Amino acid sequence: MEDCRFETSELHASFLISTSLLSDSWSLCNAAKSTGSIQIQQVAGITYVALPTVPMEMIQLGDLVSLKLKVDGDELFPGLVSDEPPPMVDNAILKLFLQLKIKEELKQKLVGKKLVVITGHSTGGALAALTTLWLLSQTSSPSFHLLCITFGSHLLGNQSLSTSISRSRLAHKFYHVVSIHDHVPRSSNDQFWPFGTYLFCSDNGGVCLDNAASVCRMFLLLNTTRTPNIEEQERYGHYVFTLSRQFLKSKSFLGGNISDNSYQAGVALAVEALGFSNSDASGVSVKECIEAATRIGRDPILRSAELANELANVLPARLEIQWYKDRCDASIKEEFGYYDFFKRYSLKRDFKVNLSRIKLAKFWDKVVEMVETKKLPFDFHLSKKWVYASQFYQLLAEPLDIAYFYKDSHDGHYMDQGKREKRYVVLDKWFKQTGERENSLRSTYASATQDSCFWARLEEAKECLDELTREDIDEQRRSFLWEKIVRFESHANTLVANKDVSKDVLARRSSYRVWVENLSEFKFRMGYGNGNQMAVDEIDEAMET
Amino acid sequence: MAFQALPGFNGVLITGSLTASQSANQQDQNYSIEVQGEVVFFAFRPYFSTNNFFAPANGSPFGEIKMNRNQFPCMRSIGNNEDATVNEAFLKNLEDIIIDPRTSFDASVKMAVDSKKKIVFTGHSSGGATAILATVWYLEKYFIRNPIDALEPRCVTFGAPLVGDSIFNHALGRENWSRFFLNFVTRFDIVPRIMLARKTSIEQNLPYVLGLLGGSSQERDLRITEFFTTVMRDTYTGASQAVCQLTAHGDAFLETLSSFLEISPYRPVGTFVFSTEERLVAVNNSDAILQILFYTCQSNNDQECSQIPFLSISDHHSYGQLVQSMGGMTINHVDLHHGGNSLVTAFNDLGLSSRAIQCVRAALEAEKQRYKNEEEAKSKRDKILKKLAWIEDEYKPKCKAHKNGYYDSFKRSNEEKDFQANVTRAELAGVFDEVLGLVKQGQLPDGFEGDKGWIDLANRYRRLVEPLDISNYHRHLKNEDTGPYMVKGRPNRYIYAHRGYEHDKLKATGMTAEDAFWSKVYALNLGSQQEVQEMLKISGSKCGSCFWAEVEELRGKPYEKVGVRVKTLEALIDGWIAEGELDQEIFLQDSTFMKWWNTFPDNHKINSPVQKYITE
Repeated sequence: MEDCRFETSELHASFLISTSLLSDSWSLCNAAKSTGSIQIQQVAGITYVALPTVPMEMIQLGDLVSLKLKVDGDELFPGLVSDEPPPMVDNAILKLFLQLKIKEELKQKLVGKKLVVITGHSTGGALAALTTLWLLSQTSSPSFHLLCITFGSHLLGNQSLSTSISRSRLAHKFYHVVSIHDHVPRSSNDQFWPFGTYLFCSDNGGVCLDNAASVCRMFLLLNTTRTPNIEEQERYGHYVFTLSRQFLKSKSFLGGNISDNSYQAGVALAVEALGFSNSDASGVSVKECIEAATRIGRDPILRSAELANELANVLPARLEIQWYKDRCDASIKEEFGYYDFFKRYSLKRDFKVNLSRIKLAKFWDKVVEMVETKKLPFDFHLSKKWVYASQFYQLLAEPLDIAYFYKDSHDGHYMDQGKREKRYVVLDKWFKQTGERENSLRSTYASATQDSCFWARLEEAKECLDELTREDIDEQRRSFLWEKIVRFESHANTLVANKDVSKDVLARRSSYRVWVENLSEFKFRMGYGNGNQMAVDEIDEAMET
Repeated sequence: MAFQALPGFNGVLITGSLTASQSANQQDQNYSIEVQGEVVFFAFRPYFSTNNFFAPANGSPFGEIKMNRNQFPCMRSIGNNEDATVNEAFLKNLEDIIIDPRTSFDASVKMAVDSKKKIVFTGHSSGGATAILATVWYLEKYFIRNPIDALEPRCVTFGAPLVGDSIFNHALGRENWSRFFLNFVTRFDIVPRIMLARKTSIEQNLPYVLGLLGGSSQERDLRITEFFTTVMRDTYTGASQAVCQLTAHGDAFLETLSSFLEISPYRPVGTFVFSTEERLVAVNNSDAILQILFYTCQSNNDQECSQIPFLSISDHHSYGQLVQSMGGMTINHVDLHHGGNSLVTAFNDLGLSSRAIQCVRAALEAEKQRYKNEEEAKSKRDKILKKLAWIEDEYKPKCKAHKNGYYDSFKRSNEEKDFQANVTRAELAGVFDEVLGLVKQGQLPDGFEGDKGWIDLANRYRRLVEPLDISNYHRHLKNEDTGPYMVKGRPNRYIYAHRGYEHDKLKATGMTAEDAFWSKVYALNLGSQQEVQEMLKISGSKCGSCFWAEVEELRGKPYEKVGVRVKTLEALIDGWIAEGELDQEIFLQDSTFMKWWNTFPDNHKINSPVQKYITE
């Protein structure tokens, strides 16, 4: 692995072990276990909340239930991003969460806190994870830093839960400490799926794995190589304290000569930290598992760096379109904007713009495809750089794609099911996830129309109006068409009033203006009054000032 | 032999420093001066009371405080514009000496400077901390004004605690001053590690241990073990976090965990020479030194483990022996220039485990990567120059055809060339943004920000292209939509370039860019300082390449309301043109500026300092 100079899974574990977070959490877990109630304690500026451990025999683990549920009329996890299939958690844990009245218990007690660690052991660990998830998925995120540390915990939910936690950028808030001999965390049925970072520990040290696939692989590996030990559930205290006390003892490599390659040496050390030997078969499997984890962690980052370079390369294409639009907006004699221009003409200039349009489409298709196939970091589409870039692209380029669609003869409408390019559908979704633009009043028309499908909607409305002016249609069809027209008219009016359209929409002979005029003429003819004519005048006024 | 292996230092300086430090130990005075031939040693006395390690009124977890920019203008980062952090108590130890009227410290330093003698600041224990800060003080006060070889200071410390944070270290690196600092550390000496521990965790045992360190008793007390373990635990956390930052930078877990922890900000500066039994190892990579400070205290032998806490006290007193035997020893180096076997030998000398070697290697690799990044950034130089030349030699002259300059031409963007200029602008922005990203994340060598060639290039770029960005901003009316360019629109790449330029220009004067600007403006006598300050709080006049932003901001407003700002702008134009910040083409008759200028009242125009540029 050339790009990877260091093995980080053990370094990550050492960092966690070097702190007092684990031992302070564990002490309180013990207290919660013996009292059977939630314990809250302040240690060195950190508020620890330990959830009680309910004996496994007393509850029925293993049944999943959807998180989309309401309690007292309110959604319990409103902020969780959910895809299909829906995120689900263990029914028994959810029941416990409600029965123990954890919500009520914590609501007041965490007010004003700055650092909060939620922790629990065994079933209490799953409960801690659920409690943390609940705190994190409220509509307003908590005002304190939050960390969840579980010990020997059962898995909480399904793969979809794991994915949405990653996609919501919450995975790094969960740590699960798991002994390599403890069978409990790896005994859930295969509908369950891990999330967050797993600290696998042995008497020799620990290793952190933070992607679910690698954690599963490690579970499988341990199932075949490490005999489960029933008492292991009670030995977390032993691990926490031994590991945190070992730090002044230097650990020499036991497996003979260590590689000169830092990455290979790091992996070999990690294998030993987990209590395996580099020379036997199971040790080799562990080694492969850790190497795979590095790849899974590293590749998406490398790919996204590469995409950033490619984004820079397609920049001239975007600027070309931008310039084309600006030129059209500025030209006096043509009197319409880049949408209409592109739709009507095939000059040399338009040809060049078309090439840019295709180039950009290719690039964004690739980006979208990579996100969909999970080849990029989970939160790729949440990073500002890409949200802005995609927004900018879509608002500028989709009108040209629409124009291209309607350029010659066209089959059906752009907005019909399956006609619109998939990339735009996906980009729309990204944008929704990051939240809409704050609603400040514009003093001038937007540089790009904020509804990228504006022109497609117009084309439909245009067709409706054309059809309506024909006389051979029945009443039912008529009212259907009229309703569509009215709907678009009001949508467009709002956009114009908020200045959410770009200048080109309002150009003197733009398709939109022509349509508005036709509509008012139609209304006049039909005796609907000339209300809309006013709007057009107002536009003129607005444009001139 | 060892003496020759440390560039810039020699036997006279090192043994002289030790002697001077030792005699300072025994005096009542806070410092002592010893002259040996052509060298003057300023040696500082160590203190062993808690208040000399943690300033009593300081509430921060490590007793740290930001340095004052007016007093130490170089001690900051340019990229993140952040001042360096130092231990307040150590700073106060120095200030007491400088301010104290009973001492004539400053006068003595000045005398040494005037007599062209080599100046060495030195000290043992916390006296070494004072010596480091005294050196920084000297660099800022004397050396920077006259940076000639003869005035280069040296700083030699023995078992000194850490003084400043990573910005402190970065700033010394940027100014190429790190090479003046040499620190000796015996293998287990606790003092260089103390500042890596939280105040709250060591508070209780600190007075006791400092008492032992100051005295010479050979006590073996459980409290010593406890103290040592506590310090090393925090050191471990710090070292682990640091190595994660080097290898997994950007990973979310780092930020999450770090927000729950108090981790020492202090970092080693200069070269460290570690001594382990009969061997010496020199290291100049701050990250590597931090790892070594932790890992050299590990042992795989239980018997030895139980002895190390006591050695951590006695090692603090063994610098005499170290220097005495140094002459006959060889030094191995841990740095990028000594690869392969030499490195392996050095690791063995330090007694590092496989895990420890990993961590030190990670520090070296990160340094290597920084140099690689620098090379890559600089390899774009030709591409940048070509693009700048196109704007300078083709675009600008073509634009003049319209009796105005490229600012106005770009704003109208009527022609193909304007489109080309926009592509060029965007491409250059990409390159400089990328470099700035590296700077902000510390992914370039410290010296990069001090590189004259790059500063010049970045500022040539700023002067030439920022007007286009301003033009673009106002072309799209973003000033109405988003806010004034200076508040909402100015890209960081220009702010950064300008900051580097001002720093480089002003550092020899000891003035900050802010001071320099205001003193120029106050001299215009346009009103009370407070009024003027209020009016120019956010103003394009603060930077020559923002000239157009100020013009755009003011030209829509009535003259009477913005008179002060107009006059300030005009008064600065002369200087900007002379410096190359601004092109005279702003005076072309159809430029936005001239059209606006022509609307001014006649009595303003007659008295205007730019009258001379304007030909009717």
